[in-house]
Amino acid sequence: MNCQDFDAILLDLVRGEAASSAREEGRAHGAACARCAALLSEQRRLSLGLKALASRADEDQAPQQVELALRAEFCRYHAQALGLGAPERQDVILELASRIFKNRWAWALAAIVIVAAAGGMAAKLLMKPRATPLTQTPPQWAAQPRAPHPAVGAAVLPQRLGEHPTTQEAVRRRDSHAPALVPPRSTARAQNFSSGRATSFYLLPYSSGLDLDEGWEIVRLNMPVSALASLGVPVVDEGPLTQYVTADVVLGGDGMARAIRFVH
Amino acid sequence: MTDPNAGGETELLRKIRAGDEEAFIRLYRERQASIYRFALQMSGSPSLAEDVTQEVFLTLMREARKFDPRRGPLAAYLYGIARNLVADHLRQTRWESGLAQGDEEGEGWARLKASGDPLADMTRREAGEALRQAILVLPRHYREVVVLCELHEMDCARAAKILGCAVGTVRSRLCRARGLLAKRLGAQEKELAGEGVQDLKATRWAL
Repeated sequence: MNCQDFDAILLDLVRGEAASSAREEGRAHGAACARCAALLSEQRRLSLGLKALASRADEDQAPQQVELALRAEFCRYHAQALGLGAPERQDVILELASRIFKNRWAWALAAIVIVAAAGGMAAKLLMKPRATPLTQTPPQWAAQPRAPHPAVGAAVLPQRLGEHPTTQEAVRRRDSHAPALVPPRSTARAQNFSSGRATSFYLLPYSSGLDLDEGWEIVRLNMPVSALASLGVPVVDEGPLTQYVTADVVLGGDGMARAIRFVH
Repeated sequence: MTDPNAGGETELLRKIRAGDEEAFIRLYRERQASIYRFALQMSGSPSLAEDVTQEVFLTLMREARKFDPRRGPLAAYLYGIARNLVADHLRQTRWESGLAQGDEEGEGWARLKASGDPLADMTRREAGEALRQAILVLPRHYREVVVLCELHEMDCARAAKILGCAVGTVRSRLCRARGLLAKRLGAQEKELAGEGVQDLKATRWAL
């Protein structure tokens, strides 16, 4: 061993980490080389000094107030985290999540729950009846014969029931110039009178006309012919007055009869 | 320095994350002294060592999730935090204290000798103080290996993990640091011998 080799193992020699063979070679070299012997001696003294310093420092520790401060901070931190404080809560939630999902069975269970939930929602959507907009005209309204506009109806008031084909034609013609009939308001009721053929509506004499904006209603009645007279409808003298006729009567918003049509 | 089993550490950390205060305090009591001593021996300042110790455990409390046992033991993780904190402080106070940052050419040592403070001289005459001061004026990368490998009695492999460098680097730094310490203490010995203070020689070296 030369001095360079000795320098290479000097640290292991003084720290007691050299292999036994290297230790013997180093000792032999030190006995023959004054420079390396002095170096080894100096380093050993240094090691003793460092060990003594380390043992003296064993008593050093942080003051008690550090522990107290940390205790207080620990309580505050976790109270805040459990009370859903922003950044800390994230840590706690992530920690809980990582704990829950750390095995594959938990993941599989979560996947099953998600698929089941999605399936349930889809089925619910498919089975749900389609919502009807509030302003949409009900189907029976579309099937209902349209009432003549009051302005139009007043002009074609029949004097006799037998005139209705001509009048119906006139109403249809004038209707084409009339404004479109608005859907019934909330106060209006329209019934589906699909059975039987009906004449056009005739405004009743002495009525104040029909303002659709005030609301209206159609009712089907079986009434004696004699009752028509009370509505101001002229009645032919052929046939018994006790005979019943079927009629659809348009009632205004005030409940008074405004127009009538007859159903055959 | 003891190395507690990793399973126990993992369990302790799990409890800490779950908010178990007693687990946190148990870990603190197990580890605080070594962290405090490391900071004290690196900085020479008890107040800084106190602050660093507190900050290390606050970091552990807030970021326990960041600790990965596969990357090394908990002790290495805590030492690493302490090392960074001390380094930050030393950088900040570099110009405030000539002793806080040493250099290989011995400027810090020269300032120490030239302090001219009688009280400081008296303190230095106490056993071990010369060596402590000599360590404090070493450059930081040498000081770290001396503190960890000599004062904390770690092997080079463990110190390398804490310092994040190769074992060979730790060994070479330790050789160099020991050489500097021996040289400086030897020089002081000669000075004292020249001044006729022979009786202090034994004290300084044998502590």
